[in-house]
Amino acid sequence: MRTVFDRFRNEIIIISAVLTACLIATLSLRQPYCSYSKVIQSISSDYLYPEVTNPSKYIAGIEKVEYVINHPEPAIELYEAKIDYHNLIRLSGYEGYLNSYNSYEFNVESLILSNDAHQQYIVEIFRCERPDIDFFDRRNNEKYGFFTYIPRTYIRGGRYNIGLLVNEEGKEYIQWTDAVLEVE
Amino acid sequence: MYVVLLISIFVLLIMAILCYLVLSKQTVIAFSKKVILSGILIALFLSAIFPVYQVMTRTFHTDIVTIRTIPEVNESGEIRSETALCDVKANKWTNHIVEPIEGKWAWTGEYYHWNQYISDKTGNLTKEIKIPIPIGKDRELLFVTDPFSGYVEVEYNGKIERRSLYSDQYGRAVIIIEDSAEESILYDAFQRIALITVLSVVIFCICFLLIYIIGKTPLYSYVCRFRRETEIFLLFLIKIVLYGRYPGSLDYTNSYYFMNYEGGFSSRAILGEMINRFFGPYISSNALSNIKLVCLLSFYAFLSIVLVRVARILQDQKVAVFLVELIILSPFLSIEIIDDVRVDLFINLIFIICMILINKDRFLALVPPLCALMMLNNESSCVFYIASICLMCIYLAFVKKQRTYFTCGITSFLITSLLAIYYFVLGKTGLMDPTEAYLHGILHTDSITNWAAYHAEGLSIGMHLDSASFNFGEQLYDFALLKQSFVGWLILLPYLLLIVMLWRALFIHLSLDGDKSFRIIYLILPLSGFGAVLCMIIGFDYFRFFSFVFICSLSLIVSLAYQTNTRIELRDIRLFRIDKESSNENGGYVRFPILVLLYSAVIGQLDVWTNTSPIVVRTISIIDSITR
Repeated sequence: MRTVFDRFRNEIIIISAVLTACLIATLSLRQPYCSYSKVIQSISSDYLYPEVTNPSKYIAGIEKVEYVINHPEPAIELYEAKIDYHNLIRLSGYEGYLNSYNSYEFNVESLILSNDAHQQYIVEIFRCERPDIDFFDRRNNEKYGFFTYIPRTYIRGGRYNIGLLVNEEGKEYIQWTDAVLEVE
Repeated sequence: MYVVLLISIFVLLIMAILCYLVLSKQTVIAFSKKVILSGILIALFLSAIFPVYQVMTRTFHTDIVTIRTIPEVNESGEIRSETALCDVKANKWTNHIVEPIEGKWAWTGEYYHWNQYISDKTGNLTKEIKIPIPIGKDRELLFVTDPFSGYVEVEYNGKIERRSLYSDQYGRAVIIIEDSAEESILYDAFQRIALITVLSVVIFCICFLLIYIIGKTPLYSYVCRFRRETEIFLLFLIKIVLYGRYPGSLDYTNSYYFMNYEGGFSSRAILGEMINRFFGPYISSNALSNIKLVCLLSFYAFLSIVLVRVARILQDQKVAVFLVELIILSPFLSIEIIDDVRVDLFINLIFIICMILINKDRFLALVPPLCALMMLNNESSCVFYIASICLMCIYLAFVKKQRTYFTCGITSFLITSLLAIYYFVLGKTGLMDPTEAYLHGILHTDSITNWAAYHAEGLSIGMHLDSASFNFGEQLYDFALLKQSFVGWLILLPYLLLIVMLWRALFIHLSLDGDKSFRIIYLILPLSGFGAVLCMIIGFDYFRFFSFVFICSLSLIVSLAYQTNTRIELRDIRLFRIDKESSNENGGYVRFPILVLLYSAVIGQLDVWTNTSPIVVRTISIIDSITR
């Protein structure tokens, strides 16, 4: 094998250069995409998480559901077709413990969106600092907040209930919130 | 301020002399005095750098100034609502504008900005902001004046000043803020002097103790055995410490980590794409800082290993050290620091890998794709790296008489040329829209992203090469860029002198040998770079890279030639003729490289092109005062 490589070294170099050129050409022609689409995962409607039995030791909730840009300007409508950054929905919330005797691990792992037609989506969340929240024990880096972005076109239209997927002692439960997401 | 600096330098010098006297009495250090001396020098620099940075760039206390925007309606009913705060000056220094403590204006990368359109669109801008400004004297707020600006109100100490920012042309309006109270200025100065003293003493003591303890333990003999490696490592330590503020939150460079191919093809997006793929889609500012720090330290570790291995391979250790120092000082490794590990760290890494592959004669097929990767990362500054790679390939093709090297060099050159043409034809960013890219940036992180970076990438390459980028006009006006280039060359001068010393040694050696053909080649070599060097003076931005191509190629050629001419001793490398019999100690000849090295450590960055560097600004003002 080594002798073959040695014999055709020039050719291999030229082929690698040609392949790289092709790769770059492909790269330049690639379609725009939205990387936030990977935070959404569709799950089977048959699979149901059990509801939380004892939510009193901590507090968690969805605070805000907002569209990133409601009315795109005509000048940038052109780009709307290319990329979905004008079509994002931001969900934000918080969680924390009411006293310092509990574990300091956060429980909320992700969000669950569920509509009447039994379509379910699991949505990844990102932690953020919330210095404005002051009623929790402050020993956990103040990262009480969480948020996520959902591309509007990646979920079907409808009215969704928002649930929090929480992890308690290694088991996953769902805790429904009052927040509702309506997608046209 | 200068008095404080002088005092601290004086104190440090006395401490150094004392240390030297104390240590020179001990017989144990006779074996390797150099190690101890270099340690002391490093301790000196460590203790000097921190305070200098503290003194020059910050005051401990600030005053709060309230800025209000007041839209103005003109006769035709148009609303002029724009207000832009572009600079804060205090104590004759330009200070970086810090974030408002109350209220919010849009940050464009260069100034804080309020206008009705952005306010309506985002809904979270306030008409009033409160910004902290350093306490002191000669304090000014600079606002942009243009045809769209209304009124601005500045409130400080209960006094309100209202100013119209309307102007037919773009310009600046200065609002002078009255001086702080004398007692607070004095208190701040006292605190800074105290901090300098404490920091100097603490850092110096730590370094001194470490060196002293090492001297008393068996580790000392181990350190002496590997003193070259230790020196090189400590040298890198200086560079890291110099950038003690790292990982900085330079919003301009941070923005590049969020520029990727989501919005379309872009010329500098591969690093952002990779980071986004691995760590995305959301990267917090903490995570970003960690990524940057790990990248920097890994790079230095990698570089240390490579350089030490290079030094060990070479027969003459002194020559090896000299070469290693030359490499460290070269613009290759300085630029990566300036850009705050934006893209050039990545390029440096690929460049070193390419050089290793070429030298080891392994996986040569990877070199053209790696060159393409460099080009995708930064289409302008990679030029001098690729030039050196091609040069190395051609050199080895002639030395080893293998066609493969030649193919490797030519294909690397062709593929990067192809990419360059692609950029030139499509424009710099092709499909990427700066607005989209900026939106992507602010959605993917909580660290500050800079619209100016996205805007710069959105500019066509033609913009960088049009008549405006030539400074003939400005030269006729006040010779601004010519002066800047001159100062740049002054800063680079010691490094260039090192190359000249090498070149001279080679030339004299060839003259003694009587090899006329080579002598002519070496004579022509510096002349060949005149075109490239002129690029630095006549033009801006891209032209500086064309200029650096020559410097890097020349240093590579001379280093290779020196390496192949093993008969040349270290004593031959010097600037002037010295009688060999009068000084037989080789160490005397390495004084200049060591001086250059220390000079480089003080300067920190070879910031030869931006007019924001304090050294450049200061030197230009000195030139101005002399010429007027």
